[in-house]
Amino acid sequence: MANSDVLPYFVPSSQAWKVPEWQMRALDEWSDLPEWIEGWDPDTDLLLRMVQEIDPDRIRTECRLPAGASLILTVSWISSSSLMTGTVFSREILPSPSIVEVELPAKEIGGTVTLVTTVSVRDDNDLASPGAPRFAGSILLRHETRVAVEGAGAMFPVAIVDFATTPFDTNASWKLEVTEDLEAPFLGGFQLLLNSRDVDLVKAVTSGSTDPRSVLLVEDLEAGVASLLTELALDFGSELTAASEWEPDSVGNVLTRFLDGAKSNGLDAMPHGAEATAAFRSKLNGVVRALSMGRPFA
Amino acid sequence: MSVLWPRLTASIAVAQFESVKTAVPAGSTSHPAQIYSAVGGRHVTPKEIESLAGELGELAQSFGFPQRTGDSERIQFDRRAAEIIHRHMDLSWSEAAARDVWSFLALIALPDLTYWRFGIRNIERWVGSDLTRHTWGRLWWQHVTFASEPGLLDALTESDLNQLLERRSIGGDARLVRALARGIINRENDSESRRRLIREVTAQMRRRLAFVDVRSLDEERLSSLVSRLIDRAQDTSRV
Repeated sequence: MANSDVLPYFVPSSQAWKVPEWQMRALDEWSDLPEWIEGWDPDTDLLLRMVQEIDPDRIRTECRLPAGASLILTVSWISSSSLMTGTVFSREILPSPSIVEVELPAKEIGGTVTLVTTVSVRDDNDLASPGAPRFAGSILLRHETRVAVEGAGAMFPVAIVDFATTPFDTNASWKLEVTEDLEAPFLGGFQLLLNSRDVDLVKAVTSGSTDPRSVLLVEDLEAGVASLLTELALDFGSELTAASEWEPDSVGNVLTRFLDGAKSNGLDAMPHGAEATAAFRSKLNGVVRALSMGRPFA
Repeated sequence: MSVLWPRLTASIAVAQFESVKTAVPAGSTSHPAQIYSAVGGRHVTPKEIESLAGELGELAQSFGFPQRTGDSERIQFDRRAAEIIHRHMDLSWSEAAARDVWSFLALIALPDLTYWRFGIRNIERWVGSDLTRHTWGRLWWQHVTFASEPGLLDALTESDLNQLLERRSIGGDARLVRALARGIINRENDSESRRRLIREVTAQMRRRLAFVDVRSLDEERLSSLVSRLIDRAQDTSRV
């Protein structure tokens, strides 16, 4: 994303910089930053770098800034698990090209990390030309990239509990813990609990076995959970669509994806009445399969 | 290596809360339905949970526990307890953002102290949902936010903290929260006026964040921005 927002002053053209392409250091080698870091060690800081290529003169001219106006390059992160942010680099832009290295603190990041790179003006400019940025910190160029360090490999965190020690039915196989806080991090609010009494299901989920019965059990679980999420998304429908955008990996963001999937497959409302409920269940079964969850047709 | 604490998921925590409402139990180090995060460190030991409960219990006694005490004593308890909780709970920020960790702490490890601090009427103080409201979760995060300037935390009321921390666009940026707190404390002592001032200045700051990267500002420029927004907020309040 580069300057897609409408700002109350002139901003430079996209030719004023090369959009940052981040790399990650792992096993003593640099490689392109992936969307998901598999097997990330939560005790190891994340070392990243990019090549800064910025044309400061072009920025000043196109933004109607004074010739000597100082420009700041800032790199910060936002963690989806805590919604906390931190700054890892902020200084006057370097001669281009220059390598910018940053270290993301392992203890503070989690979930999906949004890396935000901005070029902004350092000082207030009370004598600014009409349309020129006036305030220190005014963003001229902005880019975001996301990397998942946790949670991208599985649909949910899964835990095994004896349902006899819970308020749940002791004969139930599973319970999905949910939250109605649409702004909350999804992985913090949703948790799949398996009943330890359902030995076959627990074994199928934890062993990763490929025997046909285990596969069927896992597919059935997946379909059940996906159906529930689709129903929740339909239930929240108007609240989900009222927001123009949800934070990545928030409850609202994930449920919106399920809502979109349901609508694109012809399911757009919860049912009322016996016939509608029966039709809904059949349709929901089809929607979940169309979304590639649960047992596929042979 | 970070330490993982037990979690009590939402439905189980709500059921436990209903049970606590009828009789507040003594603290314990485990619950049969507790779970842990699958990744991120070693499990906390029962002895470590007892150690936290013990030190917090001693602190609470110095402020009148188990007798009912005034707001002032309990707020002073909070300020001292924040450091103790953070010292005993070496959590990653992801773990500390997990609501279920705090439900375990309030309902299983520290039910007597939770009851003494907030009573039983407000479920948010017991079951983790909004971490700016939870009895113990809010203190852990307050310590993180104000660790570099503990004097600021001492000078803020519960209401001030709620207003500063509840919106993540501001509350998620510890440096920004401290800058706002510093500016506001220096300007306004009257609690009602301060409440109005914080409401106005945080609204103005959120509008400014749409096009200003405050993380690019050094301390001097950030302080200057806060000061100007407070000037404007005070002018608005007087109109």
